[in-house]
Order: sequence, then C-alpha cells, then structure tokens
Amino acid sequence: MNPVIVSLFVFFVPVVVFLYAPILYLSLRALDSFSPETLSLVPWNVIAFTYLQASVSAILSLVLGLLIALFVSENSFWGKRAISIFCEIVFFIPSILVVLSLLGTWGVQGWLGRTFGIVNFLGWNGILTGHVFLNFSLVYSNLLQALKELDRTEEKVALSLGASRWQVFREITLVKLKSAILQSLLLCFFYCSSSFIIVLMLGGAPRFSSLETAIYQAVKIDLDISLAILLAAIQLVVCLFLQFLRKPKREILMSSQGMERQTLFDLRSQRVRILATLIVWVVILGLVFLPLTHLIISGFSGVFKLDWWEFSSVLIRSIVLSFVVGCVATFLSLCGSYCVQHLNNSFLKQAVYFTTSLPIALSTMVTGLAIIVTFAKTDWFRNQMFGVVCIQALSILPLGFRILNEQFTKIELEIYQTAQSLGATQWQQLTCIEFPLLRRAISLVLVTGVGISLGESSSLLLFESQGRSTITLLLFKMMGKYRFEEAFTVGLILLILTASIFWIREKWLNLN
Amino acid sequence: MAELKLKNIRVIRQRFELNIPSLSAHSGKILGVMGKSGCGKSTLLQVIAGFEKNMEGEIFLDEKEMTYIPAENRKMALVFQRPALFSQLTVLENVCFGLKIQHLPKNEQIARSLFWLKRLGLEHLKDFLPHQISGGEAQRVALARSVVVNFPVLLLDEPFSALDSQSRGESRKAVRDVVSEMGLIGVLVSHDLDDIKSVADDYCLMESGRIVKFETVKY
Repeated sequence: MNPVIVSLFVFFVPVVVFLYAPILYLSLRALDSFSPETLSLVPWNVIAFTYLQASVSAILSLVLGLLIALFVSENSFWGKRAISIFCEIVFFIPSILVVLSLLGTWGVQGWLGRTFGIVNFLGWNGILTGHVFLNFSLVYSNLLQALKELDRTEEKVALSLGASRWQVFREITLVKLKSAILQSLLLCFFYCSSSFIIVLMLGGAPRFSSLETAIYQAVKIDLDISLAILLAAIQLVVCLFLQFLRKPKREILMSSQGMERQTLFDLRSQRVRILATLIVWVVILGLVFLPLTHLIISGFSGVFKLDWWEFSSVLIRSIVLSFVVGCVATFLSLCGSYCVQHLNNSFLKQAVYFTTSLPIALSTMVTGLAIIVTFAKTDWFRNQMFGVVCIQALSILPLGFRILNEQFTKIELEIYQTAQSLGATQWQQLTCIEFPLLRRAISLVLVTGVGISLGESSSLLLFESQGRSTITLLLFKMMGKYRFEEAFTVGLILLILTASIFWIREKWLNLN
Repeated sequence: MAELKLKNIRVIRQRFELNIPSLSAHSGKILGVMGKSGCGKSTLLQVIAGFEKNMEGEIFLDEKEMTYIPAENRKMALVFQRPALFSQLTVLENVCFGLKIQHLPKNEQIARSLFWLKRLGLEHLKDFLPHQISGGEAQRVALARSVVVNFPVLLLDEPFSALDSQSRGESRKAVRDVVSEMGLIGVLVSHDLDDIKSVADDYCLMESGRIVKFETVKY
C-alpha cells in the first residue's frame, strides 16, 4: 500500500475523531442551547475581564520585549549575553513554576514582597506580572530575529540623505517591523486570553476570573456543563478570529549578502547607555533572575521535608505520560509532514496545513471540554489520561509539524529521482533515505514534546482523577495546601528537568 | 575644485584587512573601485559613508575632517545595487524624501523632484509605487533621490549589477551626466570592468583589501 495513503489515513483519522468531531459537537451543542435565558446566565463581567487583562498584558509584554530587543540588537554592553540567555530561557519555564517563583518572591509572604511591603500581589498585579514574565520573551525572540534579518539598505539610504536616526527608526524601521510587531501582539493576546494557571493561581478568584477559569469552575466545581459549553463557544469564536488575523506573513527582507550586520541605532552617549543597561538589568533581575534564584535556593531547603517515595512514583508517572505524549505528537507530525511532501492534491495539502495550525487557535479548556462532552459516555473516557494525551499531543502538533516540514523541504528533488532511477519503491525511499535524513529532526520533536508535556498543567487539572498525580498536579496541590517548602523542591526538580530537555534541544538545533 | 581624501584607512574583518594608505576623488569626476567579490570594495564605501564604526584612519572632504561625523550629517548620498526605494511612498515622495528632511517648502520639494524625474525620463511614473515600476526605472528613481539633495558626494555600490543591458546603458549615462553637470564627487564600486570603463574617469583595482593598481580610464 502507498505510504502516502497510509500517512494520510493515520494523520486524519485521529485528528478528525479527537479534534474536528469534538469541536463540531461542542459548537452544535452550544448552538442548541443558545437562547435569551442561557445568555442571561453568561458572566459578561468575566468575558470583559478576560479580554481586558489580555489586552493590557499583551501591550506591556510587547513594549518590554520590543525595547529590550532593540537595546540588545543595537548595543554592546556589559552582561549582554546573560540578558539574552535570561530572555530566552523564560520561554521554556512552565506556567506553574512562574506562579511559584513569583509568589515566593513578590507575594505577600515572598522575600521581596515583605521587603517592599506589598499588601496584595494577587489580582491585577499578579496576573499582569505572570503574563508579562511569560510573554515578553516571546516578543523579544520574535523581534530580535526580525531585527537580525532586516535588510538595512533603506535605513542607510535615509541616513545618507540626512534623516535623523529617530526619523529613520519611526518612518522606515518600525514600518518594516510592523508585521512582526502585530503578529507578536496578537500571539501575546491569544496566550493571555487563553491563559489558565496564571489567572487561576494569581487572580485571587473568584474576584478575578477569566473565561478559562470560568469554564474550569463550571465543569469541575459547579458541574454546569451547559454554561461551560456556552463559555467555551465564546472563547472558540474569539480564538478562531484571532488565528485568522494572525496568519503569519513573513515580509522581512534578508540582510545583504556577506556583510557583517551594522548597528544604526546604538546609544551614542556612554551615560545614556550605562543608564539603559542598568534599567534592563533591574527589570530582568526583578522579573526573571530573582524569582528563579529564589525558587532554586528554596528548592534545596525543602529537600528533607519532601516525601520522596510519593514523589518518585509521581515523577515516573509524569515521565511516562510525557514520553507517550511526545511519541504521539511526533508520529502525527511525521505523518502530516510526509503527506505535505508527497501529496499532489493541493486541497488535501491545504487541509493538512490547516489542521496543523488549528490547535494553536484552541485553548486547553475549549479542547478539553469538547473531548469531555463528546467522549464522556465512552469506555475510552474511563482512562482519564486519554484526554490529557489527546490535548497535549494536539497542542504540540503545530510545532512538531513545522520542524519536520522544514526538514522535508530540504531534501532535494535529485535525491528522490536518483533513488527512483535505481529502482527504490516509496517505502524504501521512506525507510532508507527520508528517515535517516530526518532522524535528528524527529528526535528534536520528541524531546520538545516531552519537555512541553512535563510542564503542562491545565489539561491535567481538567482531567484530574483521584490518586493519579503528576509533577504539576502535585505542585498545584502542595501550593493549594500552603506546603510551600515541599512545593519549591518539586518545582526545582521540574525546573531542572525542563531546562535540561530544552538545553538538549538547543544543542541539537545549533548542531543543525 | 572639491576633493574627497582618504588617509591610512584600516578595517579588520574576518576574511581580509582593508588597508588603504591614500585615495582621493575630485568633483565632476567618478572614481571607480573594482575588484572581485569579497575584496573589500563595498566595505570601503561603507567607511566613506560613515557606517563602519570599527575603522582607523582619516577622511577629509574639502580639507574638513569627516572621520567622526555620523552618517546622517556627512552629506554623502548612497545608491545601492538594490534601489531600496521606500515601499510605502510613491516615486515622487521617494525623491522628495531628502528634501523633506531638510524642511524645504512643499512646493519647492515637488518642483525640484519633478525636475530630476523629468531629467531622467521618469516623470510619468511619479505617482507609482516602487513595486509597480521596473528594476531599471527603480534604480534611476534611486539616483534621482540621491542627487536632488545636492550633496557634494555620490557613492554608488554596484548600482547596475541587477539591471538588464538596456537599463544598464540608460543608468550608466544618467550617472555620468549627473556627476559631470552637478560637479559631484562620484565613487563607483563595481566588479564589472565595462561599468567602470563606461562611467568612471579613474579607477583602482582592489585585491584582499588593498589597492593594487590605479589607472585613468582611456576612452
């Protein structure tokens, strides 16, 4: 049988069954229950808060990320490499560790919270800080890359014509970066509006509640599935709209051939540069370095309080679950990218592309609820990890597909033609040519999937069952019971695990 | 007669070291700089324009030292291989750009820009956007943009490389006429001997960051 047909089948069947069908069923049930009575039950204040905090968080993240990216890309200063590293590692820190480290530092009982007399960190302060912590690095990475790739010819021409640097930056550079800035802003808004753990734990609910936490409350606490479905439908519509706006359009011109990149907007005054360096350091110290350092130090001090026997079984369960998720995500990504590489039908190709980008538009609660309402009465659902594996694997699919698709496109046509001329069948080309060439990329996707799954907590909270705990669930319970000393130790171990996994990933990426 | 002088210019790069003990160019004439890719000729232009920060040596324009003056204040217009027109501005707005920076009245900006567009046979394109015109036309718009500002120095970095033979001929003639009529100091970088011989008055040959030959072009 043709490997393309097999891949198409293997890719689309699970995706249709576990993604399209549940989302469609959820939408139909939402339409079915839509009426003036049910509309009156919708907590509109929660919806308003969701998008208001997302807007403010996204703007703050954008401003901070943009300013730091500009400063780092255009200036040499003391500690530049360290700042870059801090800005990049934040990207890989699980949300629950962000909550733990921020509470331990800036919370009412945190060491800086007590020093500065912070009366209340929960609510707006906590949510904004948590969101900015996680998202400014996303903006920073996107815009730093965009700045590095920018062709500076227009800027140089404008400067040579006498334009001031501020004029050039405003009228040329910002215009060229407009697309990257808008994409970053939309992505931040999406992440902040679909954020769950940050709002749940730093929001000080019920006063500050978002759509995601309201859905969770409706499902797990109020057992009001109808309300949950309605809220999920609202979230679904908004997220799909954002995804439509967010269609990536890379219009950035590649930098000129062979020339070393020149800086045009470096701070010329040494005093101003020193002041700017100090400000960047203070922000990074307060937001990133000190909370993480506190987590690490406190993690060591709680070592003797932790029940290591309980923890080791939780750790093993987490690693096994993450490995299963990683394998499923990798397998799906490989099938999807293989289809795109070999399909001649453009409609099917577009369908694969659409499917692999759809999970980005769906929040954990929406996908989770869709799976719950669709499969609640089936045997599969008795094993609650099934829902977790579905959600997590689907969330990793877009990234996995992108990595593998990129590698597939690098395989030259002449390679395939040579193999065919020597009599190799498509299966032989897959096993003897494509698979060896893709081995590193496949491992990269697997490692990335394991890393993301280890730190994920939203789906685990939604599908939690008694007696089956994972690291992030254990952390959540410990924090809920104010067992912070043990929580810091568990948090430190999770940090080491995820950091190691992403360090391996970065090494592999650099080798490529 | 204005003169652009370079003394003891040195720039260290990974692949080569640019080392120019002395070089000069005069008003109304074009100095060609020729050499293979990677020999340092574009780096030399970047040094003159003020974009190369890690350099040693001195640059003089009419006996005035320019070495530490920032690029935006040097009054040396640049034309690149890629026309680098500002994509959001029309052809006329592109040409007016430098005059707008100088805060000239709007009607004077338009009058001077239209003069140069007409001079280079581009007046009919004034309301077009850059993506709507051909490569040769775009290169001549870039030239118009650089000369309308009346700066004493015109620097050209492989301006004809991306053009077809007809556009190339038109652009070469335009550059020669503009420099000679306005008494500009022109420096043309190219790897193509035909470009140099059709446009430049003198030229130097570079290899691995050094000048190995200096000649006057014989027509």
